[in-house]
Amino acid sequence: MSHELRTPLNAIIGFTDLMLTEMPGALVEKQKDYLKRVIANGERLLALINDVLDLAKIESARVDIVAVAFSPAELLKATENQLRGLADQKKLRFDTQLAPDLPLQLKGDANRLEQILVNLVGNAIRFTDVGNVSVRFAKSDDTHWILEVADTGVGIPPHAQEFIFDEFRQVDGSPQRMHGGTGLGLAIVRKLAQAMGGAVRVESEVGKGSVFTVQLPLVDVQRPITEAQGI
Amino acid sequence: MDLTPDPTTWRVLIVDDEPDNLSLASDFLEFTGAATAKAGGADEGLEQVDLFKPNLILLDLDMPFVDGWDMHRQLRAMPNLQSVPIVAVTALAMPDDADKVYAAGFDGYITKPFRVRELLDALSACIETFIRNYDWQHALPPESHAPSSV
Repeated sequence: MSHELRTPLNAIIGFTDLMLTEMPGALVEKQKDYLKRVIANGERLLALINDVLDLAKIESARVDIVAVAFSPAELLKATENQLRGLADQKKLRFDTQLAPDLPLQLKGDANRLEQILVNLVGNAIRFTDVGNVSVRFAKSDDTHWILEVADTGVGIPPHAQEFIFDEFRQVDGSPQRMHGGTGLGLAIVRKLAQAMGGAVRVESEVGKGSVFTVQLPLVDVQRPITEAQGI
Repeated sequence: MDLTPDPTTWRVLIVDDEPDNLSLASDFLEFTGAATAKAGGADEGLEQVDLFKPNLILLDLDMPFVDGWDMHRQLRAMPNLQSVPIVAVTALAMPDDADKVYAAGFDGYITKPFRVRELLDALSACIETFIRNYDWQHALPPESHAPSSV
């Protein structure tokens, strides 16, 4: 289904993009403005389609969570590479931190962990205008690890902390357009965390910022399997 | 090798089962000064290799019947195509897809959707790398490699 939904949209965005190069012919400012809006909305719709399909896949349990060795440092680096530009644009400090007792390698689904981080960090940047966004990867106990994304953004009032993980729910109907995003990011994060046997929670204070914490069971590659699995 | 990162030196064969994708890439590349030929599938693409004599091939991986992976294997088996870079175009976009594409021997990789400028930059960069590696691997110019069989 994803192919059928994306293909026409790719053509819409692609040909609009081609017109905007003005190679086929010069455009007046108004025309450029309208075409840019076609592209911006096309891309919003594309992001939404990707998220809706992904969420449906996770919900129907068709998602395979793999367990392969990965480097926590590389995971944070990959996330940073994707989002550093966005933080720079808003002049936010962005730092990543690996707890010193973290092993060099853990076993888990690095792609899905990256997806969780990209969603959380993307949100943190979107809802923060001044200050910093930080990511921390740390040990929780012998078999569990935490990924923490903290920001100094607008914060989430207590009543809203219940429903922000629901689909298409933002705090007080805050304009999605103003903040960007598809409205599905946190729903995807929660479903993914659950699919991996973990959970996500939020602590937040309005005007001060938010901390999202994902706790996950991951296997330390160095430890014998039997020991690592015992709880 | 007459191919350079400058698009006016390109003869691009574009293989994709979606007519709109073909028109988009072909029209854009023609605007930049490249010559192009379009093929809606692997059979047509192989025909165009003989007729059009491309020096660059853009290959969609997700085609019905014979997909881009299979067609790539067929193209790479043709001795007279050793000096032609083949770039994969795909909607796959998982982090390890790029590795799979390079492991299969493609010379470049671009994911859909792309901005047309990105296509141009990606192709130029890929040709630059290809030429550098080609000169390094082949002490003799490509003309001296007579095709032994097809």
